Amino acid sequence: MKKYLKFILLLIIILFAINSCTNKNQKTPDRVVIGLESDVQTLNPLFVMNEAETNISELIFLSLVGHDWDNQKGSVTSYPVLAKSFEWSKNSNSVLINLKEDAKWSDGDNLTADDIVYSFDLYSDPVVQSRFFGIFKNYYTKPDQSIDLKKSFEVINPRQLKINFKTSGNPSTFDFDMPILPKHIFEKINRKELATSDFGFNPIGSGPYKLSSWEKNQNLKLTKNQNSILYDEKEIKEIVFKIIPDYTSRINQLKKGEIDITENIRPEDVAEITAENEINIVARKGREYDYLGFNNIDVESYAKNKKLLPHALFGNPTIRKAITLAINRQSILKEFLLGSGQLMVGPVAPIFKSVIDDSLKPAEYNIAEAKKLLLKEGWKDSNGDGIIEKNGRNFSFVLSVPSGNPLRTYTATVIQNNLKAVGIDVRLETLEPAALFEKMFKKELNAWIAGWGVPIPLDLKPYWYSKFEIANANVSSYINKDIDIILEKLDMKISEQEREKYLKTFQKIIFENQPVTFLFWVDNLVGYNKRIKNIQINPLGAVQKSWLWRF
Amino acid sequence: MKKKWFHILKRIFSYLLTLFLLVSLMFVLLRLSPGDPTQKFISPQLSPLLSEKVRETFALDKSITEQYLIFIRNIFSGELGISYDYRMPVTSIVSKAFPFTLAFSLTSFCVQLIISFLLIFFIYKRRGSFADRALNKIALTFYSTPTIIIGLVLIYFLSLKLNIFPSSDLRSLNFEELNPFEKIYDYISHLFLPLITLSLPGIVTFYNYLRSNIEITYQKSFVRFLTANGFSEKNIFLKHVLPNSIGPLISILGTELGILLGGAVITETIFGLPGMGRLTVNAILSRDYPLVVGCVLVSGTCVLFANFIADIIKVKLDKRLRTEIIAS
Repeated sequence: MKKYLKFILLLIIILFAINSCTNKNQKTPDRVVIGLESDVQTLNPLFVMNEAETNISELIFLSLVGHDWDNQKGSVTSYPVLAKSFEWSKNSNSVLINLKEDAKWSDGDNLTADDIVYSFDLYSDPVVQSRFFGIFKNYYTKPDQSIDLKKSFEVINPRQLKINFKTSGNPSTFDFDMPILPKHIFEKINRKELATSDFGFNPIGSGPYKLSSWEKNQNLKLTKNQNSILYDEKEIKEIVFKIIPDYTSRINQLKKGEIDITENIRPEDVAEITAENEINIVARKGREYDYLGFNNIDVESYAKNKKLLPHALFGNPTIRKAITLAINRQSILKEFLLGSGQLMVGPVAPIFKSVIDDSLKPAEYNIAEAKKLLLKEGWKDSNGDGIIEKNGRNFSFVLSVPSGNPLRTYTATVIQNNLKAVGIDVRLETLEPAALFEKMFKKELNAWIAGWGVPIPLDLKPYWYSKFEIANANVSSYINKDIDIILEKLDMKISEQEREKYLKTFQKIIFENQPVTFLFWVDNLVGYNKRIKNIQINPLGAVQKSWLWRF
Repeated sequence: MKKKWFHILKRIFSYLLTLFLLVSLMFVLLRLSPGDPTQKFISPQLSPLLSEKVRETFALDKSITEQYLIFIRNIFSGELGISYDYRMPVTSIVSKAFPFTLAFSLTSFCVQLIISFLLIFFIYKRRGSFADRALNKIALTFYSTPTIIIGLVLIYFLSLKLNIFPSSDLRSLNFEELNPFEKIYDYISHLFLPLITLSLPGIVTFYNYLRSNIEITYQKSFVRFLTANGFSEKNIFLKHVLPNSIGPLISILGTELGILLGGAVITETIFGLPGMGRLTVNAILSRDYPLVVGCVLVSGTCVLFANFIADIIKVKLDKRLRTEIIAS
């Protein structure tokens, strides 16, 4: 036995000796390591879906234009990227784009106007099924939703093209802010097989970085692309996306300096992380919110014959308002989120300063008022069992909560207790997220807790328009003709003043109607090592314009 | 001889049938469980038409019977389909994750065996001593401690506080720049904590099992007979007690190896390792049906294979079993 022990001891000594000789600092000055929870699945801009995939793909593929966040105005501004300049026609129905003459692909080929037309062709092709399929509403399209290339694009020369938009539309730079794809590579691949092609793993792009290696579920490394128009000798040589699925491990590595940036830090960890004095934590505000959803229509009638009858409990705006008043949202914000968020008024984020209606203030927790409203609608506790009833029906419902989200579980418990105080019986049902979201989109749930990310530019139609086949995110089945008219107007060519007016009216109506109980805006806390300079963390993201980062 | 071969063929056929039933059951259970594989294509920012198109591509618009027939045809032609998430052939995804799991599991299995046997060799002379009692208590403590706690405690002390081992990954980011010795050290240092985390529960399981079997064997009369006849304690232990105590452990070893080869999801998650466990769980969470079936097929095969090996070893060790099997 002693022999074995000696051997083990010797092995440990050797390991320590090698360690002391080889323990090199991995934090080389020319590398930024970004911690991600899960690996990306593709880098092909046609199919990237989540934020991490988009961030990485945007470092490899450039668009004609880019967007910046103007914090003072609370809106986005655009700047040319692959385009040298772009000029809108007087009626804004077309835009003339001049490409930068030195724009090249990472394999050395020239990037031309043909690449641009081909990219939009691919994005809108129903065979390809890209993430942008079916959303080219300002372009001339064919019945199968693909862009009518002849009508929409005029290639004047390899470095100049004109895009024509529908006269009825309201085009903006966002209509042509899509990563441009290399025609000379893609045309060799059968369009049906683009999704499964190797291109997602060996991308040829025009961006400031190119893929140098990708070890699945381990790390993905990008290095400087010297052929890019954004190439700068001073830019950081290597950006590594390191996959660390466990939250605690991610935070430990941030503290240890093994990673430089990570997002979604829990508020309770902020004090400990910042105590290290090497890490800054910045809040990305106003991009995500949590809400208590109610189905405004009767679930059973809709499931049986798609009939739109008001929900027996939640079909009445006064009841919904009473529920909002009865929930102590402030306590959740203070106790669970430790103040890393903001109470909500409606679905327009306060970051959109130019259109936000400041006159609306979040409803305050007021049990007496909530009880009064419920009584006014005929809900009272006649039999003394602690639950209010009307026409022999108890005010009782099942609240579905996604599993694995501590904030939502905590919120559900608070809601259950708060509503009990006004005589509403809430039974909690925990569902696995995939199961909950399927039921939610199929309108099978009565009440649930979920959240939405807010798109930039602001787009409210998918969430609140009454035609469900267009508004797939109107999961609370909210129907309001005035809102429909406003949302249709917002899609048209209108002045900035009109847009502001319509958006403020929209906010007032939603505030009065409370189609759901808007809970709070949840800050995305981003931690980054102070050695990274020039980092811009704003509503557009944390990993953006990384070619401007410096040490 | 003929009977032996007939028995082996019968075993292989029954394993194939088990695998077929397993993947068929998985096919049905996945379709019956709530959740939509095209969920990630349903979003306010995407066209509602996209999910319909994707559904057609994945043949999810067809009836379950039609989907099952396609599935059976694919299985018999050696195809497991295209993963909905990765948009890659399932065989290609699994073949990237499995080698790591195989190497990591076998290493862990060997570590578990070696350490548990070393502990047994250490303790057999000291039965009933303080060391024996202490080891029993320690083994019980580790046996009842969840893997996640073991992993996180190891990371906290050995990585975060003492900075001896890296806290995650298979190798360093600057691995390519290292010399061959540094590369070896790099692998060892990265896999040290995950191996301990994964192996500790197995070590204490094997140890506890073997320790109690040994105790039972020591109570048998043949041991007293050998002792009375003056055989040395070492001789009795190595040649008689240990071989007679190992039998029941072989089945446990087979099951443990099968489970290890199926992937170690907690260890892989804490230490960010690229194995079958994480792949399977992520595939289930995103309702990636073809990938789930592929992962289940691989882990099912591993469990059956490990059990098959365990059965062979058991028969080799105990001649009575062979006679029983052949007679049946």
